[in-house]
Parts: sequence; structure tokens; C-alpha cells
Amino acid sequence: MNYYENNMELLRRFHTQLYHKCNTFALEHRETAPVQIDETNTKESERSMTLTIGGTSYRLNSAVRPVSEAERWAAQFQFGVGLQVVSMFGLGNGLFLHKLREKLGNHTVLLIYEPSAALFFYAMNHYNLAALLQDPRIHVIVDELDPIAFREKLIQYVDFFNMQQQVVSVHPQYEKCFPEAYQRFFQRLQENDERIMVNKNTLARFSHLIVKNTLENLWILPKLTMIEDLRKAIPKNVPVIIVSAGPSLDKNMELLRSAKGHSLIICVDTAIKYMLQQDILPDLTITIEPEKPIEHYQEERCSSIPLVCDIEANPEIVRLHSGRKVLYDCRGYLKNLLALVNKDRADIGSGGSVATAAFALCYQLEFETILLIGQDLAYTGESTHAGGIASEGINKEIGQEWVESVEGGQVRTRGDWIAYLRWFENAIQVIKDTGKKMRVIDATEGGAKIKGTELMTLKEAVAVFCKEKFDFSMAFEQVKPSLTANEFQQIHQGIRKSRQELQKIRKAIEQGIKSCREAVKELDRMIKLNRRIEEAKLPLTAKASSQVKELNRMSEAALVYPLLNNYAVAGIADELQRLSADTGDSLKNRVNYFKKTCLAYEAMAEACVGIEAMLEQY
Amino acid sequence: MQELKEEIQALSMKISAVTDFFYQQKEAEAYQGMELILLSVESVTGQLFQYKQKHPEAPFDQSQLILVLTEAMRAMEARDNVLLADTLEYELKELLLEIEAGL
Repeated sequence: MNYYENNMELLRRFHTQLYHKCNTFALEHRETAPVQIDETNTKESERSMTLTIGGTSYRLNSAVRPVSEAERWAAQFQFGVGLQVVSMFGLGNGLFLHKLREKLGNHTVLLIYEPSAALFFYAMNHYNLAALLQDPRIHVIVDELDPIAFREKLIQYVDFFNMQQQVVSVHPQYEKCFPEAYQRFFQRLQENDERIMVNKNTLARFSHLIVKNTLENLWILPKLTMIEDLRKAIPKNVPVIIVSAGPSLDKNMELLRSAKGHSLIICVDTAIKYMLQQDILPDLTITIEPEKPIEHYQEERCSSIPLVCDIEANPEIVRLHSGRKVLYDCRGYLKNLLALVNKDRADIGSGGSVATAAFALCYQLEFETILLIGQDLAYTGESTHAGGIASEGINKEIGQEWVESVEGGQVRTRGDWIAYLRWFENAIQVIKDTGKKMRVIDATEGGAKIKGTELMTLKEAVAVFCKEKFDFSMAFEQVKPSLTANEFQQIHQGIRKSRQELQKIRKAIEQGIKSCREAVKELDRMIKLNRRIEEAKLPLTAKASSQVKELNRMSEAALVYPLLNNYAVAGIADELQRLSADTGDSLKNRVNYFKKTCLAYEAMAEACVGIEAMLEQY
Repeated sequence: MQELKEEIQALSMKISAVTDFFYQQKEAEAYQGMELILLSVESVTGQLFQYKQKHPEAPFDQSQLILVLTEAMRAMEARDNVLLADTLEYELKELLLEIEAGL
């Protein structure tokens, strides 16, 4: 086998997604960005690579001793024992990465982001990349082949506990060769960090409430409709209007009347009162937030509008709304329960706000045309919402800034809106990158510019898209509840089983806490005596290690584990993050590991008690 | 003479340290280090040229030294850090150590 065949075989075995992207790329005969690649011999066995882009040449390796250069380059990195994510911009001829690989810790994840497909295929043809491609710690992303893969990998591997330990490195000269991709690479990293912080803030604020709401809302399961079933009832070519409550909504509410019956109007919870004031009933309304005030749904007419709700939404709203309900998402505990009857589905992800959730819903329903109105994501004067209302966001501390407005100037926005703005832009980019046939029209007529959308006035958009008649209520009438009585019975048994699981976990945790404390004492003694002894030879530490493994395995396998995790982690997140940091000393790291585990177990024990009490209603 | 030899050896070590900075893309540290190197290079070459005037039979070629320094300056002007590091490490340093051995 030549290099290409061997490398492709390894790609097929270890990087399936990229392998398929390579094949599709070849089949479609897509053009790559033009790069001229030259190589020269050096004093060592490896060659030096030079790229010529737009008439300028960039030498990627030392022309004299590239191996020695790569060794000296890699010498700057030290990796700890914990999970650490390294993002490297550029593959080049792989020399730097081979040397970096030699330094990776057992739990280090290396994400190689290569912007150029041409360069990637060149390396696959001319270099033996076997060591990199078969290393399970290494993930290769080729931006031109798979533009969303980097974002996905960051979501998969970077979390609140390891985000501070992230390492970012750049292949020499790559930032000059690929300046736009370089910007995109850092933008992805920044967006991911922001996403983690928004999630962390949300979780910290709502962790107990999420658990409580989930358990209180389970009663809706027998009658609810799942998204898959809703999808079957609505033609994809029906234009969808997502009505949000931004200040610009006041401008064009009246025009919605003419769109009714010629589109699917989805109204977010905060905007429903404005629509009802105008006597316009949306086709669907959506609520996902755990603390959304019940006042939004107190109008009697709300119950006649089917409600898309998250299982974590305010249970008062869910109870007050007596009409039909569509389940928004399927994750955590609910996902485990639905898996009992093979009805679990992939997590949609809400993007953090009800408007982003409405957009994600439309994506899931595979609509071809989405119109956004009232989606300002910016202030109008001091107003944050329609009707001249000013309201602060929970993520406001992330900062306020000015962003490009739809009119071309600048407009003032705030922390949480920036996160949602980026989410919309990313989502639209993903739609484009994946080749989906979907147009997103921003008909807000004000606020921040959402890159990737087409700008239209609502009047124009309604005239262009809302021509055909469409009666949603008639279509929805044909849709039956998604779970049969027998399926719900099985789920109900699962809920009851959860209480037994909690009792079993709590008992095991008590023993686990005791063992972790003993291990900390034993390891502390070794540190004081300055003795370096293998962990296997420390009886209490070894015992605690195996107990922790068994206990973690048992609790993670429990149906109720997502609830436990939600309930327990939020209050101790900062301390866990502190204890997760690498101290540079393996014994101290182990002490911190057992302290961290102990802390988590104490929180989990408390969570077991709290959740058990909530489950009594079942 | 011993002093000059020691100065060349010290300069060689500085060159290696700065080359590391360049190879590790620590540009700010590298160019700070370059300032020190340039001062040392000025001092060492000044002494070497004086020595050559007094001892024309000395086994080194001034023009070769000038050529390497010119190459380094060109790489510096072009901000081609890899080329600059290569020139410093594998041409200037090797040439200086060769001269030092022959003194």
C-alpha cells in the first residue's frame, strides 16, 4: 500500500465521518482553494514544505533541520494528567504534530484543524500519517471538507471543568497562509467558551428548578405529541413565522393577520400577549424556560393554541394550559425514560432562549422558509421588548456592546443577546454548510444584523411567501398522541424504579465518601514524607480508586442519573473546576481528584434525598 | 583572545535561545532577544575584523560572515522567522563556532 491508501484505510477505520467527507468531496469534484505546495530536501530525512498562496511563499518548516525544529517547537508544551483539550491550527506535513503527539498525556485530546483540503490531501498522499491517524487521542478536522466538525468536537470535549486548561497552538506560518480560517478557528473557540459560560450560568441558576420542573411535568407524557409526529403533519414548504417579543414587534404586528392561514405562526411565550391583544391567534406557542412567568399564559384563549413545551418549562404554565402539547426536546432523564419504549430522540439543544428554541424546532421540522419577526437582539432606546418594556437578562454580566444593525449602523446589545445572535449565525451557517434547502428571512425591520439571513420587510415577506392557504389546526387534528397507554405504563414503571435507584446510590455513596477521605489522608501523608509510591501499593487509595470506578459506573447507568447530576453539580461547579486544575504534581493531583470526588458525592447524596422526595408523587 | 572566544561562545548560546523562541512562535521574546544578539554580533564582528587586520593569515573569511549577516537581516526585514532562525542557528552560529575553534 502507498501512503495514500494506508492513510485512507486508517481514516476509514478511525475517522469515519472525515473518511466519508473525503469520498463525497472526490465524487462531487469540488474545487479546493488554490495552494501551490513545494518541498525541498534538508539535512535530515524529512523534507521542508513551502506553500505559495496568491503569489506569496510561506516556508512551513526549517529548510535545514525540520525535525530538530519540530522538537524544539514541541518543547514548550507540558500536559497534565487530566482531560485537556489541545486545538492545533494546521496539519502541514505532520512533522510538528508528530512531535506534539509524543508529549500528549493519556487523557489529552488533540484536535487538528486543517483549513485546506488541498493541503490535507497532499499530506495524505506524500506522508506517513499513521501514528497520528490511529491515535485515539487525536481528531482530524478539515475545514473545507467538514466546516461544522470543529464546533462539534469542541462541544464534545470542552466543558466547564476543562475549559481553563485548553491549549491552543498554531502551526508555524499558518496564520499568514490562511488568515480567514485562522480568524474562524479562534472565533469557534471563543464561541464555545461563551456557550459553556452561558450554560453554566443557566444551570447554576436553575439546577434544582430543572429537576423539580421535569418531575412535575411528567404527567403530560400520555397525551403529548413528539416532534417526529408533528413533522409528518406539516408540509415542509409552508412558510413559518417565528414571532419574538423584541421592540420592533410593535411596528408590524398588524401584518401578521394577513399571514394567518397562509403560514405556520409560532409565537414565543413573551410575545403571545401582544398577538392576543390584536386578536391574532398564533398556530403554535412555545415555552422552554423553567421560570417563565405564568402571566404570559393567563389569557383563556392560550389553551386553544397548541403549546410546544420543554419538559423543564414552568410546570404552572404547563398545568394552566389545558390544550394539546408538543414535547420540545428529549434529553437527560426524559430521554432515558423514553428509551425504555424506544421513543428517545437526539437532543435538539435550545440555544439558550425561547426564540432560538423556536428556530431549532423549525430546523427539526425541516421547514424551507423561516421568517423572523420581533427578533431584535438589541435595544430600541432603553426598551428590550415590545410594548416599550425594559427587562434585564440573567447573563447580562457577560457584557454590553455595540453590534452591526440591520440598517447598517451600530446598535446596542447585551451579553445574553450576543450569545443568541452568535447562536443564530452559527445555526444558519450550519444549515448552509450541510447543504440544507432552507431560507432564513429577517423581517424584524430593526435590531442587530443576523449574518446569514436575508433582509425583507414583513410586508414584502408575506407577499412573497404567504400565498398558499394552510390550516394548521386541521392538519394537527390528524396527529395522535405519540405514546400508547402501554408505553406510558412502561415509562411509569421506570419512574418508580428511579426511587429504588436513588436509595441504592445513596447507600453506595456513603461508603464512597468514607473511602475517598481515607485515600486523601493516605496520600497527604505520602506528600508530607516526600515519598513517591505507586498508587497500587497504597492500600486505602487503591481501594478508594476501585470503589469510585464501581460507584460511578453504577450511578451513571441509573435512569435517574441526569437528574442527580443536574441537581448536584451546579452548586459546586467552581470548586470542582478549581480541583480539576493540574498542580504539576501527580500525587497532589490525586489528592485533588479524591477531594473532588468526595465533594461530588456529598452533593449527590443531598441530591438523592431531594429527588426522592420529589418522586413521591409517582 | 580568550575573552573573544568566550564572547563567541556566549553569543552562540544566545542564538540558540532566540532560535528556540522563533521556532516556538514566541515572536515578542524572539525579537527582544534579537536586539541583544545584534549588540553582541556588532561587538564580536568588530573584534574579529580587527583581529583579521592584524593577522591576515587567520583562517576565516570576513566576506562569508558579512554574507550570512546580510541574509539574516533580509529574513528579519521580511519577517520570515523560520528563515531567520535557520540562518542564525545553522549558518551564523556554525560559522562563529568554526572561527572560534580556529582562533
